[in-house]
Amino acid sequence: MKHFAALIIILLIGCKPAVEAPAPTAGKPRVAVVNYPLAFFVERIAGDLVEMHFPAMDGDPAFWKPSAAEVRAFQSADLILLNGASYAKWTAWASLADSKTVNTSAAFRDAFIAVKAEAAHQHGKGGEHSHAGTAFTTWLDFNQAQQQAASVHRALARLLPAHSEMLANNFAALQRDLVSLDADLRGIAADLGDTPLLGSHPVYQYLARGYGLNIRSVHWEPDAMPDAAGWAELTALRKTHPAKVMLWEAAPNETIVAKLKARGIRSVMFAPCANRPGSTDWLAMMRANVAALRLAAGID
Amino acid sequence: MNSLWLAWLYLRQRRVAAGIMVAGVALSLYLPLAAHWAADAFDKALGARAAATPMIVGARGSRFDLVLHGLYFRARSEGTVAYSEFAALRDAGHGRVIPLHVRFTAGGQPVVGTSLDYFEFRKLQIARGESMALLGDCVLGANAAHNLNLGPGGNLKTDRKNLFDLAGDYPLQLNVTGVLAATGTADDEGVFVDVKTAWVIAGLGHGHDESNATNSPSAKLVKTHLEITPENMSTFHFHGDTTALPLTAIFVEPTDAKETAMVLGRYQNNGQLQALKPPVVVDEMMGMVMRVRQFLDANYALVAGATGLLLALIVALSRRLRAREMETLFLLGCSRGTQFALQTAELLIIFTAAIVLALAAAWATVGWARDYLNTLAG
Repeated sequence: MKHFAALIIILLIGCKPAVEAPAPTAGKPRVAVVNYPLAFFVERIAGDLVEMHFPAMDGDPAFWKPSAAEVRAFQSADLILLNGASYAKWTAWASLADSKTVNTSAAFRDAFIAVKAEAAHQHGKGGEHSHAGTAFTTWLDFNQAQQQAASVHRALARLLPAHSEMLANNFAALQRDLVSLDADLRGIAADLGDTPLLGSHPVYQYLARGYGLNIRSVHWEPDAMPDAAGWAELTALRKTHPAKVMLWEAAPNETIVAKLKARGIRSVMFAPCANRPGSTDWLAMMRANVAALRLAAGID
Repeated sequence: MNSLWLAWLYLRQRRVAAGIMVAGVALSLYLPLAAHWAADAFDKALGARAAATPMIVGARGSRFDLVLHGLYFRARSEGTVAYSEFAALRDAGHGRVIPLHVRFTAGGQPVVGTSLDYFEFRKLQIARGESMALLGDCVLGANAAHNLNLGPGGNLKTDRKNLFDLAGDYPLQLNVTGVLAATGTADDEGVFVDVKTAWVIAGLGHGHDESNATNSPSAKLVKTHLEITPENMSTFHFHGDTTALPLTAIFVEPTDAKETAMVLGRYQNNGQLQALKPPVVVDEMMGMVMRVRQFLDANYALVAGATGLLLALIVALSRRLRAREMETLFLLGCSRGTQFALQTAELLIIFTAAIVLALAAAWATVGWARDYLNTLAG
């Protein structure tokens, strides 16, 4: 009888599920983003309702190369927001759960700009990279930025259904800011017309297309004096594209500014702000970009 | 009680004869019991896995093949599904969508290309190490880790599909990052990788080794396998239309009945793809197994009848052999009723022992064969 009872107990133990269901995560939902514009959208829409994960990245987040541990930090998030348009190259060789991942530029993926193959180059210690493939600074067209913000809002609304009203209000306020930026830039673009402009780096494709700006780019870095070939390239380019304004991703070296000024080219900072700036935020940076462009164009 | 005691003493004196009787009866009970329980265990295992898999999408062809491919990673040669189909299903918001690419093996274990969602979908837990993070990482099922004698930090190479195809797929070295807790299912046998890693194994994606960029002799030019390292990882890429990259199946977990109907409707008139409900297909499959079991049951009933008749004959012959013994007992004052009680007690002890033995043997057999049964469909 004892053996029979033991048999029943063993059978009952055997019927227990082999693995326990994962415990629900406590506290605020964790949202991971691949660049600062998305981080800013999340901060504006969800505020303190979520815990943000946007790790410090040396250089352009588009070319960040995370370690396995850094990828796992992304994996542990409840929501992973991607920029899309081949931004954050590392996502192509990392394992991320599809169910948690949202491509914020999916709505306009058919309008991505293809970039021709080009030589790889290097920014400081960040390692070599190439811009060939798809142009990825999608948010510099503020109409596209609105669509990305809408995608972020939808994802956050799914994550935080109990706070839908607050999220909607915050999103509406953000949309107003983006619409205002868009309108300001359209006004400047109308005044600029077909005026040729230079880009110090090939990151202004969506800005140019979105606002009809006539921008052509070289491959210069703000902190590195271009070599003779670089200046020769500029001279050749200006023969067909007589620009008097060059847009920079970051404040350029004073000697470069002076040398450009000597050639009749004014340096204007129009920062994509892909990484978190020190003391300001994305919207303030974009307003500063627009103001700088207005000033450079000589518009009151 | 005295009768039982006397019967027990009698049987102890004739251990061999009693043992043969118990073994004979036990054997005739064991076979149908073990077969029934094994079929039930198989039915439950298959049914439970199918029930946990609401829907599978794959190339048209054998329905059984597609379902067994999804549930048990059984190799399937019939067609593929383009990754764009997975993306379309995911973006349509029908529910959770999980890619599956099972074409290769590593150390004889199936290499399952999927996403991290698969682990949540099957409620798989990491017992040792961590989840896969980068291209080339893999997580081993419990049995796969045991069979390959590997754990976190180890590595293994994928098997070549064709040894004579010199220009074909090179084995890829996989880095083991974790081992799953045992589940008693086909997941214990898998070598889980990201679907992008599976495409690299298939030769659809590749990296570039800068040290091989010149014509100078290099040991690396004579490679026996591919390796994805932190140094070359960023050079890995896929050529051509990435949305056309192949999957062998797609799991769909619709959020509700409406979404289920939407997915089924999406493939109803599709000439290349089909959407199946694994529980329905498995029920159909088990219906066939049950028909075979009915035939076996009839066979067992005949065997049991024959065994019963044989036992009756043995008892009758035994009574004749023991006629003088019974007469002596009668002369000593033992009534005919007590003699009958003694013989009944002997049979009771034999049958009880045989039933216990048959139950124990059947239980042990099914327990021992449970893992084997779980892999039968694979």
